[in-house]
Amino acid sequence: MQEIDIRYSIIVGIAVMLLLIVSFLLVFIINQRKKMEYQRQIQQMNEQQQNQLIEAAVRSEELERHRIAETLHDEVGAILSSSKLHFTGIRPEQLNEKERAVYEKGKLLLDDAIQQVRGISHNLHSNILKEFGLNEAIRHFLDKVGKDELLKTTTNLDPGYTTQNTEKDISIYRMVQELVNNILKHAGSRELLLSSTLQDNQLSINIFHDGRGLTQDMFEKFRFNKEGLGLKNIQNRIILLKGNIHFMAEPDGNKVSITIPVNP
Amino acid sequence: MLKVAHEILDWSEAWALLLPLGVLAFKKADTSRLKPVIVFSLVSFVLYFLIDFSWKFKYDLNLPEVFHDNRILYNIASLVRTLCFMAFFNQLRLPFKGKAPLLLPAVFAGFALLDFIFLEKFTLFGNYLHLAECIILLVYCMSYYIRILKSDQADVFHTPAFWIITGLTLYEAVNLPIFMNYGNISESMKKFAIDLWSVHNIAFIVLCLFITRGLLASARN
Repeated sequence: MQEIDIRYSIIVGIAVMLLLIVSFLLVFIINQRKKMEYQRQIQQMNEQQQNQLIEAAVRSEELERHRIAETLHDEVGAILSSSKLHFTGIRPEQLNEKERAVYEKGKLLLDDAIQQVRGISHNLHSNILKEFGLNEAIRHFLDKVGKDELLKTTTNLDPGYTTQNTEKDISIYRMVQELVNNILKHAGSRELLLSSTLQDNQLSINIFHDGRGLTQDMFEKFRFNKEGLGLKNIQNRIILLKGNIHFMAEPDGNKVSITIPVNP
Repeated sequence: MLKVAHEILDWSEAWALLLPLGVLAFKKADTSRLKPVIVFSLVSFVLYFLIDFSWKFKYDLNLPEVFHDNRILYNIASLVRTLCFMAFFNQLRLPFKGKAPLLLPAVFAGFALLDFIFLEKFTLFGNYLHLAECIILLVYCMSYYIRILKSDQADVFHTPAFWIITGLTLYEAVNLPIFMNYGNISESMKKFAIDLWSVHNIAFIVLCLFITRGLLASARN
């Protein structure tokens, strides 16, 4: 009888201990999963907040560009045009040789200033993009860049891409502008090829040039640098568009590849 | 078939340890914080191999008298297990911080010494020793879970510590009722004692599986 009692108590003891421990472990695992879910939600909220901040910064930057472009075009441009009008009131044949040379130089500089102001205000404004789409805006921008024959530019853009979200396209355009400007400033390139492909709801933009370029590590380093404001802006826009950017060194040059998801 | 299954279970204390040792041999695991577990696996493998070998072949191979009783080896295995896992918990700074964790293994070793001098024979199954092992290691295990529950750490499922400690918790919890009176049961109810030891062996396989999973988690990290 005592033996049966011992057997019974040991078996019950094992069962009870097992039940207790398994229950405790289940509670522990459920609690940890809840904690993980909570932390995931917090992280998601932080990311959302960060995206909202970036979006606000990008939007205010765009507004500021527009304001500057309009001021340049409507006010500075108007003053310069008015100055030119006043210039035309001068009769060069009544001036002596020295005065005529000063007049010619002044007129040349004024024309140059009008051209520059127009160029800058068009660059800052996104009118072409809004009216003709991203491809045309990029083509127009690169044509202007390649005009002085120091840099030969070629574009090969996917005609299948059409604008669905203008703000998204403005961000892509600004990134292209910033990257091409950087190439102009730092790379010492002679040739630049910009191509785009639309595949599997992904727009890929590749900028290839034959000059000096950044590596991915350098980009990661510079975008946290005070001087790397342009690269930081690029990164912000990439985060906003949920895309990717890669800097690659190739045998005959350097390539920057941007991939952005687009809606079907 | 049943006989083969029994045979596999009888030898499980030795072969189950080959699982974590195999992972150590073939996977590049980060073992910097798992040294006590590795020592436990290696020493226990040798001890349990000797235990099972002497039990199975003491008559067939006409082994010397000293190998006829494996209970001394079981006591040594318990000591090794407790001290190794205490060292493992000490690395995790559990259950106390400061110098107290360093004293606890010494206190346990002192207890074991006093137990075998005054209370139990070293040549017999040490009920108190095994019981102390279960209680101490369960307290250590619970302190780990409580610390995790109190902390912000959420994803513990990828840490080796979680798997090893969970295996140890299951092993010690199942064996607590077995170790309480196993010495007497093995004398008076031999058949039941063998069946009971099979339960211990299954729990030991589970412990080894969890240690293996912990080592794999360490290799992945």
